[in-house]
Amino acid sequence: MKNLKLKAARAALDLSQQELADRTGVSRQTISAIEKGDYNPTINLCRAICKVLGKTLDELFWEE
Amino acid sequence: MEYRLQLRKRPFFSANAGLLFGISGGILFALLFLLISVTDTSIRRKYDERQMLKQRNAYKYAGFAMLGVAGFLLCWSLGGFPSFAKPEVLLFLIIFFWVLVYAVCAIWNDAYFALNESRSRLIGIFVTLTLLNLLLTGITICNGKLLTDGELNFHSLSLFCGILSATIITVILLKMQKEKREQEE
Repeated sequence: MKNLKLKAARAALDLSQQELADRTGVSRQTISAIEKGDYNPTINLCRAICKVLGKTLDELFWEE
Repeated sequence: MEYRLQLRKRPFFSANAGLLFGISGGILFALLFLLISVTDTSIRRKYDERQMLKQRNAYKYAGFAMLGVAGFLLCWSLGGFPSFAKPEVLLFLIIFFWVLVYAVCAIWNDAYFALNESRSRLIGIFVTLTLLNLLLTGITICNGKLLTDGELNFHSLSLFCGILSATIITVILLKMQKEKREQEE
């Protein structure tokens, strides 16, 4: 399932996938896979992404 | 007086000293390189969690491919079909298919290149390897040394190495094109 909240949060901060990937220490393809819903990140990566984007886990990764 | 030339058989270690020295030197060099790459964090390849997961899958598929090829060759041999390659080439084929499947799966799932790796340098290395191996293969074919009694001999290994590196370059280029299209979207 696509993670549109993550994409929106990234776009709100005007960050590219590569920039977000560099700040979280992963590859651009991993960020792309998470946004497309092709990969479920570990809790550590989720926390790292939330820290960079200034959001909580619920705001980015909770399915509604 | 009769003189006879007598050829004395050289002892095993004397005859193979050069080979043993070369192998030992190669192993030592490889161990030294491994030690440096493991301890020096600046050159150690870094993969993220998704890449490590995809690599594990690639190992799995490569293992199945290897089993498949080994099983096929076993059935071919037991079926009494004529052998198309010498035993050392057949063993190499099994390893070749393992490496091929692993490389293709890893590259296609973006798990081949480490985060701190230069792609262009690696592509350059593979292009060089392909050209060298194809050149060696061409020389072997021109010298008529590719086959021995109708079977591929160890001179054909350069052909398989060339095919392997050419396949890797092709997959890398296809992947780069796919990524470019996705980025444009």
